[in-house]
Amino acid sequence: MEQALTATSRTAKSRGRWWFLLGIGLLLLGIVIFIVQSSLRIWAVPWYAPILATLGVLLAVFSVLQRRSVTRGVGLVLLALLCAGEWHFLIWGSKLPAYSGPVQAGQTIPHFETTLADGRLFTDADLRPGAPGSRPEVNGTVLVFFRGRW
Amino acid sequence: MGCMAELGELERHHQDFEKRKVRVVAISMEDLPTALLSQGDFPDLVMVGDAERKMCEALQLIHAGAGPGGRDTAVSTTILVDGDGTVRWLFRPDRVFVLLSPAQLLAAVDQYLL
Repeated sequence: MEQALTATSRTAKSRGRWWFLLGIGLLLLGIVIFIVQSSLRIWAVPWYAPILATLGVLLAVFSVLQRRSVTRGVGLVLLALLCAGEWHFLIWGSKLPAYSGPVQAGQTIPHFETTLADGRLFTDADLRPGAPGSRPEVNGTVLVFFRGRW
Repeated sequence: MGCMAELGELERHHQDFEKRKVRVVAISMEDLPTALLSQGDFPDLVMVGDAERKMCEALQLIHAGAGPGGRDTAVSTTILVDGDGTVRWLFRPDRVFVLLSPAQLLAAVDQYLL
């Protein structure tokens, strides 16, 4: 009789546990896929990450409905916060402003002055033929602006 | 992480750019020692350390507060300039995750510079 009651108690405590763990797994899966995508140099917006996280939160909600506990409640809140963070970053945080500056296709590059890594001056004149720093055999220049080494 | 990977890919394909007689200049708003470090990592690219922001301000390519600690950084942008100094193409992704692959950039070079 005691053993039957203990077994029933264990079953009650574990009800819905696997849904919760699956929910955590889906959130982590999104992160893992993003890491793999980055290592493969596939540069696309990882919309799958917050979608998987959302599914994970829904599974966690289902799990909490199966059995309410403080642990599952706290876990659900953390999952929901992570999921919300992912959506926020992808929708707003990762957005870049549209370009509205003086660089226009078909027009001469605006005047600029800056410094090469070796300390030499680099200006817009270096992109035109005849300037001291220009190279007449060059068909053109690709200017790649990047955020930095961090 | 994405930026350095992008430069790494450009370095790996530098011969494709050299065949087309096109040079690749990579610009960030970091200081010269950092730019020199990057130059060592990517010897076939021309690295610029625009720490005084003169080039980025002139071309309006600053992303305010986007860097660590809220620092300003250069916005990911690619500009093709022909041998006469005329801008032929400008690419600005709509999100930080999106970068030009070497194949895409070479296709743009073939279309707009050659």
